[in-house]
Amino acid sequence: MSLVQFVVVSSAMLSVGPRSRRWPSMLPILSLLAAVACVSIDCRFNRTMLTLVGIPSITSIMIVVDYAMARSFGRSLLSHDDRRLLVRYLAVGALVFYPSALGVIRFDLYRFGFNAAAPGVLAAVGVLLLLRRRFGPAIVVLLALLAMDVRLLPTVNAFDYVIDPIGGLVAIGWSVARVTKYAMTRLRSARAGTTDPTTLAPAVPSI
Amino acid sequence: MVQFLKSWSAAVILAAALIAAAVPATLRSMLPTSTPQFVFRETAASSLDPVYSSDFLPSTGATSVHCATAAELANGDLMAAWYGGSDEAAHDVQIFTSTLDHKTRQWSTPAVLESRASVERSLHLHVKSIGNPVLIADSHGVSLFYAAILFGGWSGATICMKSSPDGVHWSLSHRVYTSPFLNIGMNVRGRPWRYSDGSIALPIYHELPRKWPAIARIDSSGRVIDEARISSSQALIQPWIVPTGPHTVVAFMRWSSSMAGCVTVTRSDDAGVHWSAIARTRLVHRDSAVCGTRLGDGSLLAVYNNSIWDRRDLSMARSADGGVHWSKPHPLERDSTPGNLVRREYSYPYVLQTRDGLYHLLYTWQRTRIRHVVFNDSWVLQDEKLGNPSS
Repeated sequence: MSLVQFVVVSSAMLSVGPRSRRWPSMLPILSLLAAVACVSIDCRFNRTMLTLVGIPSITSIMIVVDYAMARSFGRSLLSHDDRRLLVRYLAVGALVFYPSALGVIRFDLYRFGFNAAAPGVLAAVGVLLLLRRRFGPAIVVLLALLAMDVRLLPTVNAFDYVIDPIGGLVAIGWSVARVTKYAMTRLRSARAGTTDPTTLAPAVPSI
Repeated sequence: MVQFLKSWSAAVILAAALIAAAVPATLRSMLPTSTPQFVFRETAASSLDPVYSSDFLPSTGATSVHCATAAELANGDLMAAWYGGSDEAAHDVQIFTSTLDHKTRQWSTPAVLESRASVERSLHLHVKSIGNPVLIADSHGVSLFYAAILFGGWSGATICMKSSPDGVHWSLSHRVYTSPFLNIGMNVRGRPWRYSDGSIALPIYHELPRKWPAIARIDSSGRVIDEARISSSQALIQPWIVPTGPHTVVAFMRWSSSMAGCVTVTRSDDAGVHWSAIARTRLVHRDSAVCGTRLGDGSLLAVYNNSIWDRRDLSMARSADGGVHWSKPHPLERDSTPGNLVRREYSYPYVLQTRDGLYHLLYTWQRTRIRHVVFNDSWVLQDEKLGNPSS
């Protein structure tokens, strides 16, 4: 788990840093700092942060790590569309999954994650993504399955490997911000009397 | 990289990898999901003469003690655990243990098994308080489950576990992953039972935001391999399961509401994988813990607070038909002393039967002590009320 938290924190630090050529050279220092923060310092702040963050899913880890790689090295596994698809999945998934898992609705979706069929369903989703030529998300599904095989997280439930509340919350926030910005752009265009649909581009920065 | 992957050959390889990666996880999930069965032994016959005695567990000096649990060790000693501190959910709460020597019948001096600070060190998390210990002991060793409050009150709790081969040397605590939402909102209180494959049936309950009871099946490494929600239609918590056979089990639940309610029961014919609809009993109470056990003749005995107002009345009732009809309650504690200077509460009963056939009942006594009552089948059957369950 410490390794997972180390990867997430170091990637998150890289993601929020400035975009420059010298930035990758900072990677070892930042990684070291993140490792020390995650593993060694047994302070109240660190404990509280770890309590709040919980266990990230493979989906969230991949989005953060890939975004950090894209910013730092200019290389990434996921395209903008792939990342957007995964964020949308996290947002919709969180809205459907957590009310069920927490008992707000009676149907218990979380229990299906313990079922022997769950890894097969995940593999089927991966194959469907491949058929739609979405290689990046399919690789994320593959990594989630491999993580389940080696029991990377302290759980055997398939849902815990593909969705997490913090990732879901951030994805919902991002989706709401994106929709709001799009609506505002349309509203402004309408007020300005623009009718040309090509001027109604969302103009929202991609994640 | 992406361009390279966007070829059919890469797609075929990736598809094969997906299918291959799903196989180990599927096989691992298939093994424990075979229908479990309880390690069920017919209750031993104790003395024909009625046995009834009571004493208190040794004092720890804590202002407030609560929620006792017990388990019989491999050598026949009875290990008890409870929590104590300045108040419930306070920072200074600790989990204490004491052992009843089966030869001398003396309780050992209480020892601190876990504290907030030691849990923080084990989990590397911020912990506000701890509580609700439950023990299970058998040939596999001793395991302790308890709740650690991370945020707010009990609804911000997470379930932790530590184990020992002998009840003396203990491992560090680790979290049991029971909830997908930051693994909080789950609590424990009911007696765990062992399945024949070595996994544990742990009664748990959820309080964030809805209340519902469940049974978590936990493997030897402390991972949850199945979690069966008992009900989510009513605010029921603290399930207490009583196996009545290798596959059959009855569960009692605490009615958790500010309104007066009753003890509820449900049944399972597949060792807790699926549960019947919730049924109400005649046993009235309001938001207080209930426990039960199976007697030698197959009847059920429930221990609960027989009052819709407070926890001043702790009673027993017996059912000979699996929890449908109940005897008149036999009071163990009935305190009508006026005034609130002392917290006159007799609550959180925890009952188990040891291999010598005796039943051990522990409960909170005025929040200052833990009371220990010992009785046998004959004492129950000769009682005027309990002996006539259809009355």
